[in-house]
Amino acid sequence: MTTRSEREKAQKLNEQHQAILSKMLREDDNKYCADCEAKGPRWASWNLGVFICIRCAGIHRNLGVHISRVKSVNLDQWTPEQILSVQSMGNTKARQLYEAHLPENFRRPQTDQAVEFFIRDKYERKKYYDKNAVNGAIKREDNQTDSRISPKKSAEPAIDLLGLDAPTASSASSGTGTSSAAPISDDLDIFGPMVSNPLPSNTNTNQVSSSKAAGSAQASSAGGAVAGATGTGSAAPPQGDLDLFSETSGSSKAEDSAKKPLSKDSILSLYGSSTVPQQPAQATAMFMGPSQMQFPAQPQGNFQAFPGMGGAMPPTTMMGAVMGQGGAMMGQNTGMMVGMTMPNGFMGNAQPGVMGLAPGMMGPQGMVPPQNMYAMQPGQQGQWNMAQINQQMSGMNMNGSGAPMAFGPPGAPMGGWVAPPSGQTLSTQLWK
Amino acid sequence: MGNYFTMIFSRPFPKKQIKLLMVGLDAAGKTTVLFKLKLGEVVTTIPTIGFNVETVEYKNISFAVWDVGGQSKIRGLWKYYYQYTEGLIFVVDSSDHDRIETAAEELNAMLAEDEMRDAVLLVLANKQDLPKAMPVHELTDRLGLHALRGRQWFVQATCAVQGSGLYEGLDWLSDQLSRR
Repeated sequence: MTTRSEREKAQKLNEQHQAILSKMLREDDNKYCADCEAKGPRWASWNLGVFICIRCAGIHRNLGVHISRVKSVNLDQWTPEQILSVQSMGNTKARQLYEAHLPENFRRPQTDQAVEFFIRDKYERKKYYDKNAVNGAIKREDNQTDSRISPKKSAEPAIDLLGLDAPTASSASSGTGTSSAAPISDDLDIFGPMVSNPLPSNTNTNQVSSSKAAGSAQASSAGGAVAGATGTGSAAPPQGDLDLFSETSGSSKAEDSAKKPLSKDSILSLYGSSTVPQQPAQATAMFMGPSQMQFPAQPQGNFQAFPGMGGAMPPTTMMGAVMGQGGAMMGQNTGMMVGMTMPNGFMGNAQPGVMGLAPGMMGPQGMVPPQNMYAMQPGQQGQWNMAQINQQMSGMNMNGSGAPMAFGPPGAPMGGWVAPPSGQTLSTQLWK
Repeated sequence: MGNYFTMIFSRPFPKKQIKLLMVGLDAAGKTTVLFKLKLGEVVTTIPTIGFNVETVEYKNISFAVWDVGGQSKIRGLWKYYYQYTEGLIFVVDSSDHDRIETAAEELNAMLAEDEMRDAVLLVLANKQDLPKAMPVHELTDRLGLHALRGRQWFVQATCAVQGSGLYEGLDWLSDQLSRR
């Protein structure tokens, strides 16, 4: 068991690391994914030393740890060694190195499959790599930064670096008021840094900041409950198939994506039919405490699938279980976590296929069973007790056995979700 | 009369339902395992922030498999999924030598929890296709499984992207759990 002082020390170090990372993310080149140029990356491959978006992070993880070691800027604890590694590289230098032979007219791929090919070419086959490409300003030895070895060299020793950057830490986080939300436990602390991270700029800055302020106010009053949204905008590819991430700020973008045929090759795109344009502002708003729970029901042209959700379902932006008041992280039981848009502000998952939230996920069965369960209206108050959850669970389980028509008549409480045409097969949406 | 019995017995018997919790360090392959089991396909995953849950029918058992994100700071949330868990699937990236100790710590901490007292443990030694993947016996040692007392456990080598080993793991689980 660690002693209290050790824990505090670790926490402090962690805060410093967060500050360093936040600072690095404000550098111009680090504001975009090193691979697909999506805005606001919140993930990193620490051995390669690049900041990437969540989608590319998923692809990097496919490469294996012998090539790329992925970490979340916000959801992972970093070691000094890992921090040094990204500090000595960064997206700018990585581009010079790994994209030295990239054709000038190269168009960055946007579909998942194409991005994976590109990333494999770039880091696994090192097709565009030139270790001499880095200009003279950068130390020669840095060029050797190989994917296999974490760079061990740096001009300054780790401690100094951290120390130097420490002031930034406090100033960075105090700006958003997270520091006032004194975490009660480590668990609660984990989302602090996320809130403190500047969200990617968008046209709704006002909304962002106001909700953020509200969020932190709530957090401090509730004894430090802060729920997290990770890199919402962060995973926004410049355009294209993943319109889930596109920001509504560009309404034209939303239209674009509506027109554009979705590439069905990832679990993300299985949300395709719902085309939910989301933005950080919304996500942030979602994470406020109970009393300030908002359901940002923005007019969303393409929003079809989850009417009951009040327009609040940004995939990848929420935690399955986050929140809590006065130190209790979650509801009393696991079942609570099933919930989407719970009255208390718990967000259920974000990711694909939570109990069939993603319409396509259950594909062959044609219908997503427990829709009703998740399409809980904001107005529906009251706690879900375990019994209820169990009922729902059993409903779901029965359903898993796959009678296509058994569930949720279209137009039932959850509204307009209509079973996909039976011809829709998953094999077209997925790839090996 | 005959018809009556036919009617009764032709009704599907309610399947036994079992909650499985699938955890492990980030990038171990939990989500890939889940969707490989559910869909038989390899999906392009992104890091799981929160959780996924799917039911998987196998051998007349309905497994509700909860796949919970494994980033270090959200591992603290695993405990909220413990309740009613009958089987724990711990997924390990066998090629990640550097983090096997961390994985062992997380696993042992979890097994020490009271709510997990009765859960059987299936370890998936995943990513066996990658270079330098640890074999099952090495992984068993490094996870400290031999020291476990009063626990049913099993280590299964898998490669989720090829689908190998997954159903063998479920076989073991269904054997263990149907005996209860």
